[in-house]
Amino acid sequence: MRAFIPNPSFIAELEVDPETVKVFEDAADAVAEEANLLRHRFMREDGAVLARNESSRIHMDVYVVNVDPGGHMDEWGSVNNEAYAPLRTAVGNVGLQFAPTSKPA
Amino acid sequence: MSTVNIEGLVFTYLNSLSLGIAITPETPDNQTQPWIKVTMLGTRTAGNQNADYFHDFHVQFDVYAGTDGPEGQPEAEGYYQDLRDALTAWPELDQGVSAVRFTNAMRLPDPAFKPSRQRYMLDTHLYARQAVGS
Repeated sequence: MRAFIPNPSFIAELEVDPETVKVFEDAADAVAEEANLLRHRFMREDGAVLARNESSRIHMDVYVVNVDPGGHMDEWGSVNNEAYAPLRTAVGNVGLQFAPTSKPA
Repeated sequence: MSTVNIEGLVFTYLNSLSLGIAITPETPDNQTQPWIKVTMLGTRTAGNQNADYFHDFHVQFDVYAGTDGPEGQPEAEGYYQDLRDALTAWPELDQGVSAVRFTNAMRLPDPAFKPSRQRYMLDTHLYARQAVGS
């Protein structure tokens, strides 16, 4: 029996694999679509929540962002606004798990 | 069988502790005293998907200072710590909440006040079960 030798470049190879990136793009699209249904319309008519792929040739970065200037109030609420939490809620609604982490250095 | 009234459980529990701060589902009219606003953002069945008696509740707590500006931070921070301690101790009391998970916490001053009112936001998941026989 041969010993299993982990591929030290496994994660790095996955990050530049087009099929893997496509999985994350599709997930981000689904979350953005759901979040746009959930969010309160403060200022923009539609499309305030966007999926963005800013991956480079060596690193995968797929985001879902709320570009509405009032998006922070939509997500967290304020004294005058209820918290609708579209981003946090949308992740679970499309079957994914929201796992908060600190911003990477 | 009705589902768990998690906000009712939260109000009953926190008020029983006499934390010295108002616990409210809405922004109070009197904003010169600190308050904690409780908002249930969502709920899912936890565990067996066919069982509707154990739930994962997504609840946001907003801890507001009673005064505007940065001088309100120690007050808000103190109540935030009290709230966090209270929620941490809750599962041990066997009052229907089995576990508490903090998924995010941040100081998020509210710019609707001038100057901004200090606010601590605590994002939680509360796992609660329906009492047997109810």
